Amino acid sequence: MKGLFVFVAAVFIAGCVRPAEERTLEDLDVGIAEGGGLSIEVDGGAAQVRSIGGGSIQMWAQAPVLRARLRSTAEGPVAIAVENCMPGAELRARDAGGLPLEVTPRAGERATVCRFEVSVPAEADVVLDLAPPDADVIEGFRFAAMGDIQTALPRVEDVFERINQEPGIRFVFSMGDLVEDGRLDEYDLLVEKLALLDVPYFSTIGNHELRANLDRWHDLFGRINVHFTFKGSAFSIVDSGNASLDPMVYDWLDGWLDEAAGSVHVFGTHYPPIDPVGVRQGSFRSRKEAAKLLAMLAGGKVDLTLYGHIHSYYAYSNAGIPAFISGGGGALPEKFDDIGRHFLVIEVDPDLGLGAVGVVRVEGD
Amino acid sequence: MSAPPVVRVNSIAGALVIVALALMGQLAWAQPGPDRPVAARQGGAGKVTRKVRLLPVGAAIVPGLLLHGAGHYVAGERDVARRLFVVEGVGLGMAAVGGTQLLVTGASRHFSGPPIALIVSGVGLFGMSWLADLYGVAGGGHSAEAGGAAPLEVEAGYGYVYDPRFAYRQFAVAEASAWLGSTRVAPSVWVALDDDNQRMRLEGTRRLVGAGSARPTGDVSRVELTGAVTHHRYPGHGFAVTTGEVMLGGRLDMGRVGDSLAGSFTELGLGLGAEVTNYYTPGAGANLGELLLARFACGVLIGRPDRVHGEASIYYDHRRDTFTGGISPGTGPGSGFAGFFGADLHLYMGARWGVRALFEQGAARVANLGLLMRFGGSSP
Repeated sequence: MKGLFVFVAAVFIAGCVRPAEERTLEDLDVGIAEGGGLSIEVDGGAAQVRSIGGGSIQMWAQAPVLRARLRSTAEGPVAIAVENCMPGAELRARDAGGLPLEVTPRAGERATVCRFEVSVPAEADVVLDLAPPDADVIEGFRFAAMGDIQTALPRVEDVFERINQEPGIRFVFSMGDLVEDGRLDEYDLLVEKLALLDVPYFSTIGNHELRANLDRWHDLFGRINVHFTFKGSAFSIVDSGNASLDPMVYDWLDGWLDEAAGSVHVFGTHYPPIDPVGVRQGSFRSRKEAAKLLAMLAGGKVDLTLYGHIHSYYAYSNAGIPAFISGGGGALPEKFDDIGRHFLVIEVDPDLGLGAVGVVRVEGD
Repeated sequence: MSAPPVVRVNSIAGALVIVALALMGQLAWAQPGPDRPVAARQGGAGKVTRKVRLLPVGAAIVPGLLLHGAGHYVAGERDVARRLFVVEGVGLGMAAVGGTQLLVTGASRHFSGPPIALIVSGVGLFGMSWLADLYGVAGGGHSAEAGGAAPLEVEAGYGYVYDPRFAYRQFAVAEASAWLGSTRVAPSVWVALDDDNQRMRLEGTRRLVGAGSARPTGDVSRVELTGAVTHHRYPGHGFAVTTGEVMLGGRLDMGRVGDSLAGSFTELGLGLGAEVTNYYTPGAGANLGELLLARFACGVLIGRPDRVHGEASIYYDHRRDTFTGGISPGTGPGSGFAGFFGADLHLYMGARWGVRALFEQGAARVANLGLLMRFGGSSP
């Protein structure tokens, strides 16, 4: 009997009912920074502040459109660099009274690096808006979706080059598992590879990012639960790295669903709530939680759900919502599925709803 | 390209083959040997007296964690040691074969059921052989005797479910179990007291081998075929799930493996289920899914039927569709594949009254404490 009690105690201590709590809380700190006489707060944590001070701020965007509040102790120019920005994005700056401030665009190293110089007054709030010129035009557009690069990271340029060739793609929506083991050298390589893309890459994490150095993700890319609206369509990408969502994410999602009511809404996460091959269970760790999430998405009139984790391609329906699993980034592939490396190209239109979802196969396997 | 969520024939066949092999192995192994009369294994007439010896216990841990049976080997019980080592090898072999198949096919949609069943069963055999070694050298082989099940048993109890993703915590629990010959019918219901949530289950079990069946074993060994229907309502969240399932399971009286293991048992079960999730949102419709059922357990008999008696077990259940869900080993990776762990205790104070305590840890923590009432004397 003693052994039984020891076992029960061990299981209770080891078992974790809320494994993502800590990292979800870290999302709340993203986009807030101060140093060297500067302070900035990015709305919704939509960008990670990589460095601040010395008259400059460097950020990584996790959304196509950013709004931030900047404050400086001294009057003068502040250099702002945003990586992973929308190509051609423009920065507008206003003072607390709404008067425009002088913004000088600078050349970025590539299409997804946006550089500006802003003349800011001392000790006054400045509102910054970064967006491509057509961000407010409500119209249809295309984006790419993919997941599960992992061990194929050294050769992912094949996929990225193919995405660059695809006309009209505005950004990549990623369902996580960008690295295999979370090693620091993998993150270094990932940053190098992402620089090959002509469009930004917005992503959550998968289970593989949890293997090590998750702080590195936060330092480089910021939030793991992301929501944004672009050209009238809403996008939510949330962390299911532990095959479950944290309760706090359900609260956020509730608000995002309300906010997106009446809009096209695309939802993505790493684990499919329910694996179409039920006996395999490459899905949420609780089927009841999966049903809860899907019922919530159906009630919120979500138009499309995108998942990764399973290294293949599946098209099906969950709770009446079209669902796609696209884990074709190059990780150990599911065999006998005749798919290989691939990504999705998806058309959304705020007036017409979800458009075509195409599969683009990438040669070279 | 779509993959309709239907129960696949290859999965069913594969799982059933594994169950058959595992149970055949258990039963073949379980034939009473000439040197170990059944009464001795039951612990009644042939009472076994054993002492805890530190060296064998230590050996059962190191190197016993890797070499199962090391504890018995050091204790001088070489036959038992060899059997446990063989079981460990079989378990590791099954897990390796299943794992290799999964790796080679990339968890293919066409072949994933049987290898996962192999992995779970193999891990089960691995775990059970180690626990048996530890039990045997740590004072096992006690003289407990199984009490027969009553024709009718009723449980009234309290359930607690801690899942931070759901509002419910407190449940009223009612369960019953009635034996009709070698068939057991067991309805149960969990009703939330602080939320709108109800889970109803009807389970029917046919005992194919063992006490009360046409093929009694003379001990607690048995083979059973179980079918069940479960309906679980979550009106507040807008869905309800109905599940149908069938499972073939067996229990082996470990006294058949060696006197040192008398009073303990192991269980293994495999099956398949199908579930329909109905969403209340207009247009959301329903989803049909399948589930692999796999469970293994180790337990001990407690006391004697004329005194305080019962049984306690610890188990692993691979299913993810209960309140409990699957376990997360921590904040790191590893979630999503495993099911949950649990411990179950049935304790009877004489012929009529008893208590039941259950704990499970998965995505949620589940506990159940119930009062048991038995009617009609003793049958299977």
